[in-house]
Amino acid sequence: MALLFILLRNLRGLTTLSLILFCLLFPSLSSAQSVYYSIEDISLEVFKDGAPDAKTLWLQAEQKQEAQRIANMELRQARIKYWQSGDTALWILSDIGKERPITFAVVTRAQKIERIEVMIFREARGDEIRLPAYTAQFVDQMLTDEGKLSRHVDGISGATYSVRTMKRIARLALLLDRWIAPSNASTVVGAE
Amino acid sequence: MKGRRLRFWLYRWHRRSGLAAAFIVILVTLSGLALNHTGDLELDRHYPQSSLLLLPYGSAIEVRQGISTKDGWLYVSDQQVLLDAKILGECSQLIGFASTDSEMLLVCEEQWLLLSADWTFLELIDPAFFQLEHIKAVGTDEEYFAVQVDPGLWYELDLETYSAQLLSKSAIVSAQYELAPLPLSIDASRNKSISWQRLLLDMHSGRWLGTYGVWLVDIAAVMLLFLALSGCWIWFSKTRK
Repeated sequence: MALLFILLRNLRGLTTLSLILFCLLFPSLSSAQSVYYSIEDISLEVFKDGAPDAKTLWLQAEQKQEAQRIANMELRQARIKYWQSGDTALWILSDIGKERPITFAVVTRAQKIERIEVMIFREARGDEIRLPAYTAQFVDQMLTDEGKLSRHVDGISGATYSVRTMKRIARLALLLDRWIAPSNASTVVGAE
Repeated sequence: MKGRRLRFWLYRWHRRSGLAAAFIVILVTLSGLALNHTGDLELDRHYPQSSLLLLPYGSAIEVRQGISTKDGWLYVSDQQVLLDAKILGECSQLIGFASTDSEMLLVCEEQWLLLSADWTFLELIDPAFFQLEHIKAVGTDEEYFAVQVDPGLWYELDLETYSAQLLSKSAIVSAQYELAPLPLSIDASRNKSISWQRLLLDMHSGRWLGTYGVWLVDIAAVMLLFLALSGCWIWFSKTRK
């Protein structure tokens, strides 16, 4: 009877412990991919008059070095696709969070971030970064002369890697937006 | 007279037993000597790579897979996909590869890499945009890339609009390249689970030789016991006279 009482009293603790053990033993189940936006969804939201054709930004060696220095990202690919209408550009970029890639959509306009969204989240934890209250901190962010975001972004306890990835992606998007500015447009080609 | 005959019989079988047990005794002795110095020789920290020595372990050793192309082997190491020694990009698990005249598509579990014909990494593609899961193979439909989701279900990919279209069953698409075990020349240090200590312990007990290996070592041990006893008998019966 006493044993039953002790078990019942600790039922909550036991349930929590079982859940933790379950997540540890079956990490694949707790790290399923969550798709929040498709390209079509985000394009329709950003470009009200219809999604424009994709453009291609060809990356030069110096630009890759700059991306490494400012965004701490190693761009191995030769080109990046983006969608642009007027001075609004939509970038779809991904980078590893802690172990798996997170895909973001970043809307830039006149060297500022207009909007940032998590499109696909694959990590086990840390998806709080997709919440509007958090993404709002990135709106109107610019790149400073030192290559940092112009305003402080709060962290989230338990989502450190995801937050870092989001900041890196924000810096990279602003850098890419700088490179497609009319004065740097020599490396941009239209959709084939 | 009876004692002389017994001594002669023991002497003859002492020699025969010594010869028969020699191989196992040498194996057990040498492995035992090495095992006595496991710490000094760091046997638990080093791993044999000889395919002959590792033959009995078979499926216990993870054999990495790759894709053989005309320019070399494609394989994943430390979350990166390589063409022989050249790093192409990030990749967690290689699923397939296909090439057209002008471009090549390397399909990994979470990212796809579009490459030019000369292996320049052109573009990173997120497979989630195509809304296709559990891709089994990659092929080409003349000029377009296609991926297989279920047996017989192929989707043609439009890499400009990031869309996929189901191909009719009459369309002939097949995987251009298949995954195959990497050759030892590339996957030189693939064994990271069977240490020298484990190998020598298995040799010492006979398990390395399979199910009957333990019995073989048991027989050799009985022979060794017989050698000791018969040797003593021969020695003392001779000195008594």
